[in-house]
Amino acid sequence: MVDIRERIEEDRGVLKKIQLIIPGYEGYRRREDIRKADNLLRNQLADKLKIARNDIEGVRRNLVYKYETRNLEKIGDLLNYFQKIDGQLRHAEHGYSGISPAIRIEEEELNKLYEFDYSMAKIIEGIINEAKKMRSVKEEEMLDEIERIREMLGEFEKTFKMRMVYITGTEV
Amino acid sequence: MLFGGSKRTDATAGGKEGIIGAMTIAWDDAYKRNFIMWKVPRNIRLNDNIVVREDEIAVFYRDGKVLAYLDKPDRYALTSQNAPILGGLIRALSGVKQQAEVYYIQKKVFDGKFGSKQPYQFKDKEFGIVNLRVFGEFRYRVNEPVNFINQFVGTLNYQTSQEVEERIKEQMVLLVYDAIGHLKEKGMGVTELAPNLTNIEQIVLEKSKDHFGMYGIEINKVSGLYINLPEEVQKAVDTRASMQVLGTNYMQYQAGQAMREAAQNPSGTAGAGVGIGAGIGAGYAMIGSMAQAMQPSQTQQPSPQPQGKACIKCGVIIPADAKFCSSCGARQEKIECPNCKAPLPADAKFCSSCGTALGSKKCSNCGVDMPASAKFCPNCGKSV
Repeated sequence: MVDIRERIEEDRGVLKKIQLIIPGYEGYRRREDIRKADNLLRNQLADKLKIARNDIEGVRRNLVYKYETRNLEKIGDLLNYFQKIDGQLRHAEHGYSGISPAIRIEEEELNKLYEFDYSMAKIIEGIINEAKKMRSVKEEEMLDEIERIREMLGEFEKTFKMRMVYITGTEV
Repeated sequence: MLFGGSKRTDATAGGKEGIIGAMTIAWDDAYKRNFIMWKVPRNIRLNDNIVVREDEIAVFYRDGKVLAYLDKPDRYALTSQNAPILGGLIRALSGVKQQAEVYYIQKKVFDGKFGSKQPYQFKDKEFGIVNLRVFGEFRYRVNEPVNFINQFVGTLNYQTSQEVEERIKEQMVLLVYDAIGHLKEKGMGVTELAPNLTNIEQIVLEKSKDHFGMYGIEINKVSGLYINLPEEVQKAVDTRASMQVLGTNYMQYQAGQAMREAAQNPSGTAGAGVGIGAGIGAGYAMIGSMAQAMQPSQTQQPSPQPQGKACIKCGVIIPADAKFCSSCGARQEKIECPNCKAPLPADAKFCSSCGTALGSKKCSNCGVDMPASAKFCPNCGKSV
């Protein structure tokens, strides 16, 4: 995967370049660019997670057209969980700090935030692989598989929710 | 102003246009509510800026083609040849004015409700034809703006969420009916619909993709689905559910119900204690029949029927033709409360159910007979 921060740096236009030499504005410009990179990264992660969701929707589609209702409800719940994580990923905190905040979020923290989000891609890969298996799982084993994916999503959610705590180093 | 002409100014533009007539356009929140889409009411000019917020998508058309599909929140500068000098010159020379338009669409989810206008006739194996009505809620959003604009706005000229919902509602009812129909073919009876409501929701949700995808609409939740059964069928379904919970057959269940009713209808003024006694008395006889029902070998032999009946007041078993109870002396005749219609012993002075005074009394002023519960004489009007 490319480092989106580098791409954003490379693609700075004239206006941004002028902003970078204005005293007091430079830091603001740099931080804003990392936030934008992180935002693009999270949207990509959410799109990747959608691949897994599509696989599970495919399983639901098969069941629906066969009118096999045994696992439908559980699959529906799992898809709702996917939607919830999707929302959390896309609309997560950007890492802004207020005026004279208790804990400042500087360039270093924002870089950590980006790297933290980048590391989440591995967990998503795992979820995608597990979701792929769903298509070939027998009906009687489906519940276990659903539960496995649910647990992975749960782990993802738990870790992702702690991102600001980790990067600001305020975990107790 | 929402549908103003080209002179429309915007809060984000600070009420000013640039030197070449360009301005910053944003969808004002005040006009957003209830509108699922908005067409910027003027032709886009060179370097017009549009602001796309987190919950919006903007589609930029130039000369009828979709050039940009802007779904990331940001400020975008749009290119067009429409400018006061250049655009005017081109128009003067060629007679052609470039058409550049922007459509805004809300990305957020909207909620709607649906309900059947006509009942669905479900042919059940046990209950015959049962009329069903369905109700539910759905959440939808625009996921393919181009399809949405072409199918809804272009073809049907729908712009408000209400208009869009109207279109979705009828289709949702049909999808539920379709799901019920298929489940019936798979052997599902009317009594099994209630425990399968979430499954039906999932079926409808999945099938909605095929129906609404072409309109650029995604139904992303169906909830609160309710299938309304006729009262008598609902009663039978409830009875069956209770029987299953209790693990009894119909006879045993009925006996239990009778016991409960007897206990809930105490007779006379003796109050709850007597009522319970009556219930136990009546129930005692029924326990015997329940026990027999549970022992199939005994049911083959004719069992002796209990002789007599339970006293309506104290519940003691007395001969079937007795007019008075040999234990408490209560007259074995029932009257009906004029107020709540509860059955009462003939000599009751007050209704044990609603407390209405029973019998009649005479007016102290004019001597006319009047109901015991009357507060004023119907003849002379005197307070009694």
